[in-house]
Amino acid sequence: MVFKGLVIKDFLLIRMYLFTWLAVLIVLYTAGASFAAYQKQFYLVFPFLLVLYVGHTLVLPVTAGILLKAEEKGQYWLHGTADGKRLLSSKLIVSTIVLLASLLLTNVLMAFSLMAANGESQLAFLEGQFPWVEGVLFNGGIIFSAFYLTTWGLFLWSLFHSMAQSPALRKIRWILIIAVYFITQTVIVRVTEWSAVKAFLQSWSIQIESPLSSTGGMNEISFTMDSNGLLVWPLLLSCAGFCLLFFAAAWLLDRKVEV
Amino acid sequence: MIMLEGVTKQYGTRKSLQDISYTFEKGKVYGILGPNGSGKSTMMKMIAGLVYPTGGKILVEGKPVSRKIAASLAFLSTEGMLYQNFKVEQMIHFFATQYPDFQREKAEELLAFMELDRRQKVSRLSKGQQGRLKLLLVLSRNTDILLLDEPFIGLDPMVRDMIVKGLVSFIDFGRQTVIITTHEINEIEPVLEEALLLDNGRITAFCNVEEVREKDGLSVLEWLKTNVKKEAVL
Repeated sequence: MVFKGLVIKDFLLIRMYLFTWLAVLIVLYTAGASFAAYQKQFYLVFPFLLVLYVGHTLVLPVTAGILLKAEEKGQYWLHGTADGKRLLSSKLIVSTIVLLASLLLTNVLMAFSLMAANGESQLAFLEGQFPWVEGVLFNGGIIFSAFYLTTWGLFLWSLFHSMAQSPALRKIRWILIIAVYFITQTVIVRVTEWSAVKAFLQSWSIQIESPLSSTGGMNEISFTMDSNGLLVWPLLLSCAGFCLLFFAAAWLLDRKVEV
Repeated sequence: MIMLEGVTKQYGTRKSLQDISYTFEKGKVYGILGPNGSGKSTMMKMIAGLVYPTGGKILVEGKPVSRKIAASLAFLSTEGMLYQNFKVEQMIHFFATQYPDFQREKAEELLAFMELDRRQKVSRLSKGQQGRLKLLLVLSRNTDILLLDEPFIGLDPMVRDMIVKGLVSFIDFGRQTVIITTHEINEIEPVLEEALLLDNGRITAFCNVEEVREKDGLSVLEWLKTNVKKEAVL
């Protein structure tokens, strides 16, 4: 009941933003597709769609940011029966719904474009096949990147607000936040450069059979799809890192953020 | 019963509350009076578990205060309580989902009493209506402790009067411990049983309102002025 109430509340807070964003996506696509069709080179719509896809890595953190911003004034949301984990989970779930809705629409637009362009025989490399595997991997990659940015965002947001009560830290908290992020990244990069760690990370991979695992292209635009296996350890460790950041953010929210 | 034992709150070198010890007894209505920056809101937030003391401890019914106190304590805050793009009924529904002690029937009664339109958006409500909605949300909860932080701030006398009438009609006197911080002493006086004067983070005076009225023949405002003068002389 409490958690459902939080999710409904967060959805109501973001609802207008979601509908506006979906409308903007359709308008942007229509503009891009119209331009491509006018040029009689419909394949031009694909780089445009790729930009839209990559932009989706920001949809999740931006949505979570809007939802957190709604609570910042007065931080009254902390006066409730839900703990930090539930409060942040609700924001994360609603942000994910927004991301998935937006990705779904973009996928539909991509599928429509592929069908439309297929008629122009611009997509010979597809060999009549629909790129399901690539689509799933690409969507997965976007969702993964979005979670990376969002869990870091939640953690840094909580850390930022937990420093608000100390006048000394308050003045330099932006610098501290940036330092925490870059120091952590530097440490991770350095550790993964060790040969033992590198070998461990590459020790488990899953081969993905892709019907398009070769070089292909559409007139001037060409790209290569590698059939390298999917490394499992980095993926699992990253997911563990996301969980760690999330729990750290919830802990800070419960114990250190004051109103 | 709410006990503050040597409570201090320090922000850097600035002390917002200094070694406060006081016991709020069950079932009484308290008024915390004092100038801006005297520590009234900090004290309220500490009792609500939203601000942690630097020193000392706060006990509610013998247990140290934490965020979990929200389940048994209703807190009216000066800001952040309302979501601007929500309708009145959505705010009520949200509170009902968050607090198991929220009483729907009482909320309906208060809705009529406060003359609020359930379909109206919060952003379209006047300051006075928003103040009434906040009070509705808090009074609809069946808690032993009610904390009202500046419930009259920015409201005109008509609205203030309506809020006081709401308090009189909907507070369970004798069972609920009510703590109100305010500058509007005249309006709140009929409701108060005890008054505390807070200045520079210290309780500088306190009184039983009835005793002051009957023995000294003073209103709370006059008692307050006398004590503020004493402070100035000291």
